[in-house]
Amino acid sequence: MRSLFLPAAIIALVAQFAVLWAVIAGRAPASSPGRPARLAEIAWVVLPTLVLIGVLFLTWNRMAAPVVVAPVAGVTA
Amino acid sequence: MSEVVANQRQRSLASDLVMLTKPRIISLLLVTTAAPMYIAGSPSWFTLLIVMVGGYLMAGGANAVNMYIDQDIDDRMARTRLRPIPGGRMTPRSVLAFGLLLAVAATWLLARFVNVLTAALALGGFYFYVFIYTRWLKRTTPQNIVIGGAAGAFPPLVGWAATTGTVDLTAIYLFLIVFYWTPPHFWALALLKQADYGRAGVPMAPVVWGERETMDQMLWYTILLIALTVLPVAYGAFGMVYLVSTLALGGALLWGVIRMRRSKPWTGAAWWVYKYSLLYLALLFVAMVVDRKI
Repeated sequence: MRSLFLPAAIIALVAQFAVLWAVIAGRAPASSPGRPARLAEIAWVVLPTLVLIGVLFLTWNRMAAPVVVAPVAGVTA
Repeated sequence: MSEVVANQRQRSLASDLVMLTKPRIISLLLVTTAAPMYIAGSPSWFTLLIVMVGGYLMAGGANAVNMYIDQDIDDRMARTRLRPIPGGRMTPRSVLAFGLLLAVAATWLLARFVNVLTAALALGGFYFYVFIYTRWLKRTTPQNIVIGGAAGAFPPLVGWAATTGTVDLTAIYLFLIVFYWTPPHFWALALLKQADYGRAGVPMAPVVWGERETMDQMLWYTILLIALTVLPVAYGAFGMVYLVSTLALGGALLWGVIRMRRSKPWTGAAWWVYKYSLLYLALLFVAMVVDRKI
């Protein structure tokens, strides 16, 4: 099932960046005009974007970790 | 005669206290708390009971404090006009005291009979809902639901910590699934109630962005959600039963959102998305438990 990681991660990132772009491009504006409100708006979308990237990195790490096989009693090398 | 009146008042107070906790909303929170307990392991019935009671009290307390903070706008919205404070049946102070009492009781219960991490996470959800969502973001940004959704995403962490005493990558995925489920779910309701939110001056997405952009964002968040629900399968957290279930459930949600964007009028389709998204989340968590247990 490891092959699911790349397509799912790419789709998630594309969707997250589409949401971020809507805010940056002004299609999803802030509730009040002015630069501080607009920057705050962008920050509120950047935050989950960073969390998502972090979780994808952790997932990749988990998948890359070597599988540890528990020793079976009575079996010698 | 006076005894009958006294009985009616008692009954009315009891129903108001229950109303303050928003029991219908909490029922879904309890599903997303209980399911992770069984995904993470095999908790005892006693632990499950304490977590359910503690979870209800904490979420109920947060909802009561929310009604105390929102008392000025609840009167302006048809959806909230009959709540105990705008209805004049309870004083704001008594509602605040009730909410705080529930939160204290929940913290004690979870810390004493489950573990400190579980209590801390539940309390974290309470603070996030009250201070970050209600007090700060709700009235200042149309992203209120996106970030505020984190408050509703704490229950899976609470359930996971109750069974394992810790939080791991799968628990974080459960948190993110509820987090990214919130925008398409709540914005469907916000689209339908946008006039109410506009009257109250709450900058919900449809009020600030308009209907089209809100629907576009719902679509992106739904796609993101479906991708996210598949990712735990990639590192072996869940198997085929869950994968098939999540793709079928997510496919139906995506179809609903696309149908809503194309429909004119879209109100019927928006109601469908709102109601189905509730079922979607509950069934998704049930599928996770079934996958782990078979």
